Amino acid sequence: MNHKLKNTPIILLILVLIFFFNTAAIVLAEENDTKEQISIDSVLKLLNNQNNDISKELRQIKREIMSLKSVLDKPRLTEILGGIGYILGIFGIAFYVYAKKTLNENSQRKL
Amino acid sequence: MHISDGVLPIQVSIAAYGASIGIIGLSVYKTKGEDIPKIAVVTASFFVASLLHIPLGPTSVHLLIPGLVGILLYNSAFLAIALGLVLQCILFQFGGITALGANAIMMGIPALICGWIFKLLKGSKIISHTVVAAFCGGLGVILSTLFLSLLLFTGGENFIGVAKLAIVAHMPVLIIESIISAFTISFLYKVKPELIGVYKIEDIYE
Repeated sequence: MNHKLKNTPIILLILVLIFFFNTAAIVLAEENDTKEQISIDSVLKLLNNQNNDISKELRQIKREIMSLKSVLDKPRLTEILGGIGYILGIFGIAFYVYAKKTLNENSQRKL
Repeated sequence: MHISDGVLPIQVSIAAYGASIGIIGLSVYKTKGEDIPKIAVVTASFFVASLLHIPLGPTSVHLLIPGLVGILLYNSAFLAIALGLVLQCILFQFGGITALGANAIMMGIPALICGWIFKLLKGSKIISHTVVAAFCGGLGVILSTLFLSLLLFTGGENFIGVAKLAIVAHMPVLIIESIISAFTISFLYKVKPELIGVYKIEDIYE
């Protein structure tokens, strides 16, 4: 009988250890579930934040593009001077032709 | 106040081109050769004038001086305005190239009318010149907006609505142009009366 009783504390210890590991596994399994939920929420939050940042930057870029467009659309000094040059040139040629004609008429009259 | 591409129907823009080419020919025929430097300077200032913007709330309207151009140039006004508009269209893309004829009619005919009215109503004193110049300056803007509403009406817009909106939007332009025309004509009367056709007795007897 002592032989059989000698083994019981070891068997008890083994049973306790098995019991302990089972509960530990169950508890850890539950924590794993909530951890997964926590990580889904945090990923969603991260995505939202990223979206907000990106849309802020997009809005900034769009504003810059609009201001750039308005600056480009305005007539530049070169274009203004070019237009004035064209006008003076066309009327200059016309006036030259008229002056030549008048000179010829005057010189013919003198003849 | 330039009409862009795609607003007017094709027949209207072609008809406007034909009419403006005809009136340009008439203008060239009636132009005297010795006036050409004056026409050149006035065309250049008309070309530059629409770069002056007057802010009006969210947008801005720009100065156009059909009245003053008509007063100074009389019969050659249409030629000057048409040339100025062509260069504005090509260089600054003000208004579309298909609407060039319509733009020329919209601004050239009020200029001619203002020139004729000025010549008709101007007295011989400086005060009557100034008052009639102010009146013609404002009249030019009003006639231009009326022509604009007429042209847009052919494109399918509501005439009265567009006319009201355009005139209200161009009220500051009207006031500024009347003042500018009055000051310019009174200045020219004192400094170089020959430019506006005022010949004093001392000039005739040399």
